[in-house]
Amino acid sequence: MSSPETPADDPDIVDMLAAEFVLGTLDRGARLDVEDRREVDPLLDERVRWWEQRLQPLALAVPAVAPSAECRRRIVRRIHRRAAERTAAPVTLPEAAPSADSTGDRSQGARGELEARRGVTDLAAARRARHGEELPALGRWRAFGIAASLLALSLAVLLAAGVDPAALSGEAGDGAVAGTDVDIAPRQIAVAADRTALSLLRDADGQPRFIVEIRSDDSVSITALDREPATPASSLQLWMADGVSGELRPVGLLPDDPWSSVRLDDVVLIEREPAFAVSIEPAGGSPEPGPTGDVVFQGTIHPIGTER
Amino acid sequence: MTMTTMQRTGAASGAAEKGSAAERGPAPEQGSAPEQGPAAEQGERPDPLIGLLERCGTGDVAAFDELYAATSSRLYGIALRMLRDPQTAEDVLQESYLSIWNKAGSYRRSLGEPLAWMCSIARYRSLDQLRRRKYRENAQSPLDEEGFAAAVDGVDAEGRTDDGALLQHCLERLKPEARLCVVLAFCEGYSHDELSERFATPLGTVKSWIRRGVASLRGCIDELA
Repeated sequence: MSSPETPADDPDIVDMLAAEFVLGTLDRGARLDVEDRREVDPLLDERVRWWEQRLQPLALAVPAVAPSAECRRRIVRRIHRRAAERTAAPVTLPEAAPSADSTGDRSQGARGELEARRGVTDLAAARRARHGEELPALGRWRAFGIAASLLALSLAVLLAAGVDPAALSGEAGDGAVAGTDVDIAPRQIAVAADRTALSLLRDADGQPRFIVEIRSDDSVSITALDREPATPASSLQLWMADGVSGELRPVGLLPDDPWSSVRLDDVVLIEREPAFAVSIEPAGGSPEPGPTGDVVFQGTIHPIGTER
Repeated sequence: MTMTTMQRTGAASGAAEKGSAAERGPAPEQGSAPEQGPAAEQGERPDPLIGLLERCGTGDVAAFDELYAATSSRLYGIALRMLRDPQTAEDVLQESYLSIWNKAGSYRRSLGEPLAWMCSIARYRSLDQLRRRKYRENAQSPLDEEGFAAAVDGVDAEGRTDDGALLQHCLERLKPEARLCVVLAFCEGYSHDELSERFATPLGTVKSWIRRGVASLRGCIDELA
């Protein structure tokens, strides 16, 4: 490396940044920035690995504790399902970089600090789009444009997830694409054939977790593809986002029971690059007009059938 | 805490305790490329976790079962230590293993020893959860000075590796406040703000402790490794 021209080029600063990343003292925004930069900065990446290796004995000093048998059962079940998905349809999903990962947003303060220490690239937005990570901040919904997940890909993923395509084509009686239909009334099943848009919500690893359908009566139905609860507590709240302006509209809360399909409040589809997102909120939903917690699932809305 | 534990040497007792300096060869110079040579080239027994990760990368669920059995208590211990809530720690563990499964095919030695790589995933996932939830908001950590001392002593006792002995030695050379901050941050997930609150010390002072401690730690390791 040539003589440092900016603080971001100074090996000592890079090393300190790496050390604090590994220690964990950086806030979430700064952590994400370091992860972004690792992908284009070999020195930073090398220093992170160096510190990980050097501090690893501390991690091994933490007493080992056996997780519950139920935990193992849940994990193994999900792994087996994913393995079956690989075998059934080898669809290549947008995949994370092979580094140890971290999800999360960035605080403005941390971003300012880190941007002062490095050159800002588009990599961060591209990475979040690739990982399916997004932020409640309005402007960051623009990254959905970068994600540009196409309907064809979504359908391929749905196939990979073992979803019957007929269930998406509007066949009656398909209220439960996956899961137990604990909350589907006959009337809702009757209108299920008239869905006009769908969205596949993915988690940070790009794995499909929910199917969201908009029906002709502007109602929204959510079905969990993954039967494991996404988060241990609080509420999961669904939002509709304008991918261009960043406008967010609350849609409703997801049920606590991840096995169920639900019908939420009426909603008017946003016209421009619409997308759904799910954030973690306090029990009962966000106390603010917009999300207060992290967006953990997201997906572009794809109109199907009739024009809207 | 004494230096007696530094006298301990010996082979790692199992796959989950791999990661010695001997396995990795000499430590790199500051800024040099990381060690990348396969263990076989160094005349050492390959870490069995590498083979399990390779098999996981091909979709071998039996290999995942073995991998989980060999490492889950380590990863869960880390998550539980940081999150202090069994249910949340199990959720983090689940997400960590899903991530490991997804990335197993792209694992390579240059990313670090397998267990270190996996522990990092669990630690970073736990940190995400900590920062998201602010678990310790308005709460005092139950880790006391005795627990801290045990953690540092345990560096070598658990690992029984040259790396562990070196780290323990270098930690002992730090000023007490810097050492405490490093251990609390790494093992407990403390942020700058949380350390500042815990020690009733200005944030800038805590940051200074950590940065001096990190610089000292690096200097010590570079000197002795």
